[in-house]
Amino acid sequence: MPPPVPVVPLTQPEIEFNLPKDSDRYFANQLISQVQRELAQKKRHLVKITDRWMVCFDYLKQQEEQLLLATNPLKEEKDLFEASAAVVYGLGLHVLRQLRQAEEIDVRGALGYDYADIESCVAELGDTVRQGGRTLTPEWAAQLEREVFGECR
Amino acid sequence: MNADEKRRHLLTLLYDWKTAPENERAAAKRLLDAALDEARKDTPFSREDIKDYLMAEHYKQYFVQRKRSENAGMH
Repeated sequence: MPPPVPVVPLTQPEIEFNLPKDSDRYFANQLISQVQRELAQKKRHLVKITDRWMVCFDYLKQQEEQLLLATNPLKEEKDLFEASAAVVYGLGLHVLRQLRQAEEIDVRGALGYDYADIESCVAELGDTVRQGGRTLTPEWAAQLEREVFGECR
Repeated sequence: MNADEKRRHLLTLLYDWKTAPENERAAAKRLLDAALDEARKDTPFSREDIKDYLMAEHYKQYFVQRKRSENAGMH
């Protein structure tokens, strides 16, 4: 017995116009439908990538929590965390850019959180990267305490 | 609000943002940003400056205390 042939569902234009299969318009219409299907597939793919990025982000948050709770974390562990945060930050910016270009994607409907939530996660990693490369002098910190919190060291 | 209360208020909002569930992160960030803007008013410091200061000088201690009290509350 021959293997079953996968059934390709008819697209809306194919159903609505009921075009004869030997006409040029039928083939053109099939191409249009194919492009529509591939674009829809690309959107689903982007949603999947976003979901995976969020898993990476959650993993980094666990690492951060462990570092915060450790009494004397190793410098290597901190360096590894900061390097990973920099990579995931870069990927997050890329994901955001792609999502912005495909703005009609219903991220909240698909993943339960929206563009602004993802943007906020990416911003947090941006903070981590900046803070990792920044050294605060005691004078600067004292000035900030004085001017923002109104106290002297 | 004295200096300690001000700092604690910002640390609480920072913690709430950093530990918020994914679908509440944007809202938590809006609250933090508003409080940072209020704190930095009439000073030469940016939101980032205040966050960096809090993270470098106070957040670790606050985080450990907060986790400890959350865990104690659970038992």
